[in-house]
Amino acid sequence: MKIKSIISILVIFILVMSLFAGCGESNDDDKTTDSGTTNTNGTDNSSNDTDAANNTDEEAFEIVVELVTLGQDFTSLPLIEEEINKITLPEINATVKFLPIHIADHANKLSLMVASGEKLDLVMTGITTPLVGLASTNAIQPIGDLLDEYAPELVEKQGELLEATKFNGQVYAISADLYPAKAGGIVYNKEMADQYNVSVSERITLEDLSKIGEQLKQEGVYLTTPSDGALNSHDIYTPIADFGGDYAYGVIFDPVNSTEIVNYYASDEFREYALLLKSWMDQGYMPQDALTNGQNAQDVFRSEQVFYQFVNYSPGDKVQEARTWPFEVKLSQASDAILSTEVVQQFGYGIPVHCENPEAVVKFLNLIYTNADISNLLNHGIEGVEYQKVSDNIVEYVDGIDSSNAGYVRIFNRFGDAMQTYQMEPATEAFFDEIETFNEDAEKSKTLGYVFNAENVAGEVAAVNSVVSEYRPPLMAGAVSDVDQAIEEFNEALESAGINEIIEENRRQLGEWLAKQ
Amino acid sequence: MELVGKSNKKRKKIKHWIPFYIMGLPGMIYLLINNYLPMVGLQVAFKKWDYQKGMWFSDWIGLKNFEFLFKSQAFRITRNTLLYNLTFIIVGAILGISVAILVNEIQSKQFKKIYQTIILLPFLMSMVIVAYLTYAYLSPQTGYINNILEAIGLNRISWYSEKKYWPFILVFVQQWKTIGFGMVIYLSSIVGISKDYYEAAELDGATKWQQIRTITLPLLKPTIITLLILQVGQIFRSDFGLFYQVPMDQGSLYAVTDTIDTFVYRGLMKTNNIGMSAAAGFYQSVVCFITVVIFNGVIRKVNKENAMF
Amino acid sequence: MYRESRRWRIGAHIILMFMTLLALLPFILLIIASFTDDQVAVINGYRYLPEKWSLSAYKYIANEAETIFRAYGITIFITIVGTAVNLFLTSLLAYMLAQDELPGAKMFNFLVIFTMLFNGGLVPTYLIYASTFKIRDTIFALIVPNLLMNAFNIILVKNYFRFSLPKELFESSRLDGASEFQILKHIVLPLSKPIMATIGLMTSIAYWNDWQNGLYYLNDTKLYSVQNILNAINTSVQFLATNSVSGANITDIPTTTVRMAIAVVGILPIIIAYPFFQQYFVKGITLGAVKG
Repeated sequence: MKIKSIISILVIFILVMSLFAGCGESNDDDKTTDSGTTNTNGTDNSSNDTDAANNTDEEAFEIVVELVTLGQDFTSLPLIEEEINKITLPEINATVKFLPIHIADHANKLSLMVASGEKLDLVMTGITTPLVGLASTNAIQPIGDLLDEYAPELVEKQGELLEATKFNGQVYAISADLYPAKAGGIVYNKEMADQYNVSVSERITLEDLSKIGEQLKQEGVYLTTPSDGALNSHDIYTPIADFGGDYAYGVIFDPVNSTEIVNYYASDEFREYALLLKSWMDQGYMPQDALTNGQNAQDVFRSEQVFYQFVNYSPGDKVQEARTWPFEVKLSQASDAILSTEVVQQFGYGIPVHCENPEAVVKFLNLIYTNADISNLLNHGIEGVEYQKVSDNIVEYVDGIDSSNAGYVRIFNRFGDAMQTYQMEPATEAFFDEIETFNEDAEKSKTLGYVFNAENVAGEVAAVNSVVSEYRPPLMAGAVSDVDQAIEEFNEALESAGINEIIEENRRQLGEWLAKQ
Repeated sequence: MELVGKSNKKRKKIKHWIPFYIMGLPGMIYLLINNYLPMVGLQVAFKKWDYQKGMWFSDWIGLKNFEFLFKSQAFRITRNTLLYNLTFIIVGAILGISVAILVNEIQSKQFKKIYQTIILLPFLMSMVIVAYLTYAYLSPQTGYINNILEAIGLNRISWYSEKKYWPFILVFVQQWKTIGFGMVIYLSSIVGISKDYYEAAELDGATKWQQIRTITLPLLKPTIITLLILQVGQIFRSDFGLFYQVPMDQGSLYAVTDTIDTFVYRGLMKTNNIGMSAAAGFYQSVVCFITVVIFNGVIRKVNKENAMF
Repeated sequence: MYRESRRWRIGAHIILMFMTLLALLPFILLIIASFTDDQVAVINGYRYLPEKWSLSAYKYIANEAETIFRAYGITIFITIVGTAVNLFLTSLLAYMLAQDELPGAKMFNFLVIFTMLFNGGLVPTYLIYASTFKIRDTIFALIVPNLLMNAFNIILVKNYFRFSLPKELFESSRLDGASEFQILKHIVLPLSKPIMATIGLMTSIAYWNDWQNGLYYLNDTKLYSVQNILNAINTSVQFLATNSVSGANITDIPTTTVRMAIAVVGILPIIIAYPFFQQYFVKGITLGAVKG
């Protein structure tokens, strides 16, 4: 009887273990049916080594492309993949497969997938995954030579943008947007403006906004909200180069004309800005408990409690904002349009280091930016299903569909050459000229192409980031009682956290880079 | 003859233990796979992580990853983490045991059920939700607490800008959320105490209070000490949700709400540095380990039976 | 004597009633907040008596109703299976550790506790489960990592076996010729209902509330548990609160109240399931067999 019990336990144990093994096998089985049309689950993402090694010559290479979303389930993806494959298969002998990833998990998931070598061939770099971080840890591979050989048209279209995606002299990514120049701006509630007789000029300054704030206060409306204090970026109102460090690496004011790196938080500009925000709060232009009530700025703007919200300003943004809000809005420009490394790096595409066939991926990139059909598929989905044409190059959702129930919506990825891609209403045919002019007129930052590598000061960066999280929000929300005192404490804390070491390192690297120009 | 006797005994002994080893085998294997194998990853704390080189071949950089933990805010975050945890442990034990005893006193099965269920309810909520609910009470403009204060003639308080209240607020919220957990654990032990003991004590004329002191508490000792040691083993870690979400991540409160975990999160949030996060975890583990060993050693001297190892 | 007993009981009722209220009030607020109109919630915050009621938060979730139904199914499955396997493995191991004369008992004890102190970290754990065992996008991803056993449970059960059960019980059974497995199954476990129920409850809660396993190991949304679905909605909301990304198509999410509705949807089943465990916290399992 004793033996029976031992056996029964061992049997159960073996069963459990075999289930593990069994599941490993079933993954291999599913893997062979990856013709690209059935994508019920992502099991073919695992153990890709044997697959690719045998198939590069005959079978098409499957390119797994990251699609950064807000977590929605897009039902049209298989169809879109099919349509894309109709083009890519004959042209570059490759098929495409999308891998939706939630933007909030993007950094984490990318890290895990690259660490474990899971199949992932094209990733988005930028907002959640800064290019420098990916390049310096070899998460993505240098693609300069590959681009020259397999994507010459793309290289030509990128032009000097490829300077801004370099690290240690090698190109690691392409700019996802061929017309990335941006200016700072505000989006304001036009209906509210009309209602209260507020006139907002096309080009607006902080003084203008203060005056509007006073006018609105009489009507009992807030000017704007700083939300959690992290959103009230100074660079909306004046161009500032921050090297991707959120002002913690030192900044250059007026980067079009200067290359001097200073401590933003010890600067007069910061002090004046903080004083201005405080006056806005004191005068009642901003809601009192904005910092703590956990509401995000979008909600507050949407519920029409405030007059304006800041945005990036560009022809594309004008169209986008018009589509986002339930009331009529207009944009005004607050600072000059600029082409800088930061702006270019906001949205880029890179290839993970473990991708087996980067040549195919680069060829695909070339297609995205030269083939209008692919670009439109990636941006809008399928004609007749997601969108319908309004005029030659302008489209709108099919009736009955909007961004909440469409089978596919491009959320955070940027695809294609805007010149050959349909644009959504309310853009007009004039859009294409607008965007070209906007980019041509944009001034170039003197540090375009310079990237700061914070590896050597990683410890200081971590400590400084913590200090910034502590002291900046109340200052940006005008919620401190004595601005000068707060700034003084802030700077003391920054210094003991090591901000000067960071700035020194930044200056040193910039000096070296400038010398090579 | 003696020799034969001894070897017989030994063989019998080993045969006697084999079933136990077999029983424990599946569990130990799981722990091996789930906990011990990944420990090779601890080396990452001392390396400069490189995706291409991977865990084994990334370069060693000694203690560089640990530096950021010992900069200007080191004292503050350490102090906060330790003091809060000590408070949570002590207050939690007192409250948990008290509530368990009280619930045990209740005769009505209905009420017993109701009390247990509802007191456990907060344990099921996530800290994020608790943070929003706390805000509903503490909001400067519209919060219920302030409304009450105003109604009785006192001034409204700007809760989220005043540091001094937050140690109490955090302890209160944490206890509110976890008291059910302690109650359940202690209750399960109390319930196992034979009624006979209490009956005998009553016959001898002992008061309830004396009964608790002489029967319940001593018999709870193993559980209490076990929980103590286990909690001390987490003394250098903190509930991220409690210290980040509940104070709404307000910089002005950091002096009393910043713990090691929130500091690490804020510091590494933008750069996602694998080596440094591994170093933070390693640092916490080492301190927890040392603390537990010391604590367990103390217990062993006082009460050998109850020591964990 | 009786009067003192009665006084204690009344005192207990009063205190417990107070604590119950303290626990219940915020929960009621949670439910009411989920039924509040979003705009009103944004302007006034969460109120017990909102100006305007609305089902919009639930409607938003109902958009995903099908997914949520399936997710409930999955969550229930993994909770039951996970908890059952956990109890099984834990009681076996705990029984072994409870034998203080076992050769190497101290070492094993230490090994178990050590797992609570040192953690390899996310990346190595992920590498083992994803690369070596390939559980990505399988149901095992939701059951096995980190939740299938944990040292805390093991220690608690071990202690219960050791201290709350009389040694005589074991000895007399062994003398009768019972195997250890039989002793465990027929004697120890039935007498251990309180601790098993406790551990079972804690484990069920852990499985029910877990969102990390799904987050890291699942890309196939069909396998998502309830918490994964809700977490996806919640992280969208939270992400938008702290980041403004222009050029993104962001839809009309009633963010403030949706969070509350999500919490309610996530909690309700556990509240319903709790009484099931609660019945095991019964007093006085007679140990007459021993006394005699």
